[in-house]
Amino acid sequence: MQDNQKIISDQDIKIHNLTVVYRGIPVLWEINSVIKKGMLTAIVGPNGAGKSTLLQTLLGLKKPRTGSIKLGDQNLIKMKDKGKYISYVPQRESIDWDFPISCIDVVKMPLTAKLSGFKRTPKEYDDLALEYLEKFEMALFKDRQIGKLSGGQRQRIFLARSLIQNTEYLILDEPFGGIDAKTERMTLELLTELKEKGKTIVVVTHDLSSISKYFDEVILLNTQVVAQGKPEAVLTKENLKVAYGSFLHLQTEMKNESNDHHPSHHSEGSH
Amino acid sequence: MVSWLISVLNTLGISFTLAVILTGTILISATAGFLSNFLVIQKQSVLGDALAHSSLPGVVLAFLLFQTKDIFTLMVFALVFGLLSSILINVITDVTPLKGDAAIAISLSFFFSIGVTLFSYVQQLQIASQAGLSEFIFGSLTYLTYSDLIQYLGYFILILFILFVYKQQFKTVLFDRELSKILGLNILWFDFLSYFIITLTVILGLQLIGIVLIAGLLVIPSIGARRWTDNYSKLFFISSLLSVIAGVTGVLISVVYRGVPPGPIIILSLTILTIISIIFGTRNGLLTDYLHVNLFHRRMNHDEKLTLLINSLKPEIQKSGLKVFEFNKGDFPEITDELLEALSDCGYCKMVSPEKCVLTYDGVKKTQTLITKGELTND
Ligand SMILES: Nc1ncnc2c1ncn2[C@@H]1O[C@H](COP(=O)(O)OP(=O)(O)O)[C@@H](O)[C@H]1O
Ligand SMILES: [Mg+2]
Repeated sequence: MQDNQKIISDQDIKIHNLTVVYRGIPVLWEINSVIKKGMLTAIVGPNGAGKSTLLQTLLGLKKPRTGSIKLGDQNLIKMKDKGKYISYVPQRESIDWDFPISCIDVVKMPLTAKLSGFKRTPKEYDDLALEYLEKFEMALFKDRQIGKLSGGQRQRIFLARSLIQNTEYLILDEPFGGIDAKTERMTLELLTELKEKGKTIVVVTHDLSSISKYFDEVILLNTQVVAQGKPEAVLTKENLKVAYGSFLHLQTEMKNESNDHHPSHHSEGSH
Repeated sequence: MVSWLISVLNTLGISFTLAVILTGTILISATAGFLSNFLVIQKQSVLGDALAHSSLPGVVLAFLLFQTKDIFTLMVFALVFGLLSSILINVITDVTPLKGDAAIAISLSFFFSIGVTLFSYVQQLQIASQAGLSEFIFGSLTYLTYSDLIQYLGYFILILFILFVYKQQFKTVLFDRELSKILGLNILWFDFLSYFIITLTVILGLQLIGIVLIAGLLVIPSIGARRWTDNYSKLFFISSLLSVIAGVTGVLISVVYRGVPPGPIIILSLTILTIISIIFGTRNGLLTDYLHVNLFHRRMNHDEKLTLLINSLKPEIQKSGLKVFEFNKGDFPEITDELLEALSDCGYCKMVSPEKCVLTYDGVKKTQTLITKGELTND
């Protein structure tokens, strides 16, 4: 099994002719793409471009109309036990923040999910979860209800949860939306570190300004793949215009804003 | 366990019949209170309603065909109609632009209408044992026998067993369906299980509380309980407790004032308990929140918060000096997590482990400034 894991972790993710349809309306159209092993890949595109849909299809959460996604010679969509190879940080809107659960229980969840009720949670799981909480400076909040955190802190909990799975592939859906500059920088540096250890990482992001500094590869998406390759080659005015259309001016405004942004340590604690 | 509970109640001077009824009530309300969390947490409280209402035609049909009130037979029929109802819900959301709630409401009234129509038909038939059926509308205590009770206990244990074995799985599926799928949990199986357990509880509760109000017992307890805790396990315990209190109250009142059905009183007591919880609950209660915000944590700026911290730490600081200052959170119960959180966020202190906290360079500098300004006294 260890061998199998090694073989799989050495592979690119190959997306072939993928079409996904919601109620008759195509959301992704004949996508062909390769997510390269050991690289930090950004997926960029306007709202409704199908970015989340692409990730969810990749994870087997949505069924495609046509096409395939392969990891080596394995069909990724049908693969059982995907959790051994891929972990996922969902878009934060999809989480129920009222849920009566503590931070440490969220982080532990991938480990405990399949335990029988007759088994006690092993102490290693608690220790490991605490270790990851500490890594994200969240240990103090371990017993706090998950909704009683700031946006950045919530993000860190879900990052910790995905890292505890210790998978070779890591998928993050808009981890930087509405979070503090500190958490964003912390996350980007951590992802770079993981990449250097050989992990393959895919991130949906709207922050065009950070892409060329941190990412190896960009997929510009709007229902179809508009362009894919190195950041400088992909994020050209022409390509962005094709992908974003009339939204382009909005996006460049955002870009300028984030360039002007002064990181501030005092921005979070003022409430 | 049942005979034990009955004998305890007996020694309290309660008659055998009443003891049987109370024991049954405790079992049913505990189960329903427990399960209410499933529906409320998933924000599917209407689904409970739909399951309860769509089981009426099933129950009446079973009664019509077999003239029995056997729990198993009733449940099979109720399950079938519940399934039909959920298929109808899916069809409506698929082929019309209607959202889930509207579809559930349509399906609910559709099946309930069928149920009521069937029910009036059966009443006309004057079947001898029909007497028992009309009690299913509002519930009644007259018909609960000792052998019923033993059967109840069997189902109760079955439900508890399922919930216990799959404790972690249910928690994961309830919290994050996507993660569950990625980890390879069989969502369909757990959906079916919870659906099965809820329908079983509906059927068990029919006799006590009636078909119209059983959905209340499957939703309301969780809402009140949530005001007392943020903890998953405690939530299940407290909601069962609230439900049992309401159940027992309802039955006792129904016994004292003969003829008053227990169902409405149970739901009424439950609602009162819930209102009390919403106001006085220690976790998310209105009054507690108000006191918390307005009295204990009135708006303070960072400097005032730092002053508060340093004042609490004074004896320690005098021992070891300010420069490299580390302390154990547990040693200072008056220092709240909120305070430390706020100070960590503005960079005056930092948690180095869950228990240990250090003052940062900024924190030390600021403290010195506060001392020179006379806001803090260094004695
Ligand atoms: N559950 C759903 N039902 C119907 N349409 C959906 C659903 N989820 C997403 N869509 C549609 O699919 C398109 C792509 O959505 P999504 O993948 O979330 O885009 P992105 O993540 O790029 O913003 C959108 O037009 C959206 O309206
Ligand atoms: Mg999205």
